[in-house]
Amino acid sequence: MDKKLLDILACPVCKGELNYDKENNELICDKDKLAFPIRDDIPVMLESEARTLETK
Amino acid sequence: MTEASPQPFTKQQVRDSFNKAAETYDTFAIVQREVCKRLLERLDYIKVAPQMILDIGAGTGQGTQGLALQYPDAHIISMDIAENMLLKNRDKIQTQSTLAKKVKNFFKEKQMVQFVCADAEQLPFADASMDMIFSSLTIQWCPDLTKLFNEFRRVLKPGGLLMFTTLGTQTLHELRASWAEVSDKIHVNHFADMHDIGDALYNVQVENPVMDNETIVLNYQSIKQILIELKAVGAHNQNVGREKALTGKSRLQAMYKAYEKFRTEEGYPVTYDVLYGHAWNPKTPMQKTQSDSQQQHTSISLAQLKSTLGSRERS
Ligand SMILES: [Zn+2]
Repeated sequence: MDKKLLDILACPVCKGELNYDKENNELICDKDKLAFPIRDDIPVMLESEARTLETK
Repeated sequence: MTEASPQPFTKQQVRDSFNKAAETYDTFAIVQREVCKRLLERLDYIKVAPQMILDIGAGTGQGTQGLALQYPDAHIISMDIAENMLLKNRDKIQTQSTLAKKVKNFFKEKQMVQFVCADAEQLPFADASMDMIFSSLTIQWCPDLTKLFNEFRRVLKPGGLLMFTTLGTQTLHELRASWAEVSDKIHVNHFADMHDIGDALYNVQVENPVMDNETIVLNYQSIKQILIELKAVGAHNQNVGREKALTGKSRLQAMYKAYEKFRTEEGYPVTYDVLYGHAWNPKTPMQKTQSDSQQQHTSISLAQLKSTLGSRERS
């Protein structure tokens, strides 16, 4: 995941910062518990395509 | 379209439609190509040196490539709701980059173009991260323009530039009228009035908004070809209310017949009412507008606050 791109990307829902999960190749919004996929190196920042993370 | 009107199609439909059209888009996107070219040409008259550019609804990348040529030092984010379009777009840019090594002065070897799949109404970018938003023939798919422009303002840096084109009410009026004669359902998308767009720009308090329009008429030799090409560019009817048992053959024939009255010596006309707009994000911090009323507050810099207090003390 390119650092420069990660710096400007934000969660499309809450506009908060995202964390890159290298293992799953996803961008995570902790606040919304959403994981956005990266497919063919393209971040897919659509709420409808995001995976909902289980709350601990 | 007024903002109160119900959303006539879903974003998922728009996405599906353009994902399907990725293969055929370039062959048929005549108007789209021409309009994007004209929007790019307008940049020649605007003196800016953007570092970060967001191309919204970049599709197969004509705008992105033009921007890369115009601003070789800029970092460009090429964004679309349909990732199939972005894959095409990236292929083309990679081909160009390979070419660039042979033909100098085209793409710089390290031209920074990155691809993001997202919805224009829910931008996945940090506040004040872009110097320019460029968007050609995309925002006609976004029903709530005030919300959309607020989102644009959020991601634009103070002093940032918004350049866009969209489609106005007269677009596809021949097809709309022909369908209306034979069916009660909506067969052709509704397009916004230039004044509604102007109002939305005014609502979000951008600076010096300018809009103008231009009519482009294409002539076709058959009505069937019109329908084929609209589908090929992903721009065929997206409306939820469209008929399920899509237009029995007789109804389609009746529509063809109704279209005959528009026919001229040059063929069957298809009108595109193209709207061009640009505006500046104010250099001062964004004031919350009515639609964000839950957290209405005015931001005052510490310096401003101190100077106010100072003057009060002195008085
Ligand atoms: Zn979030």
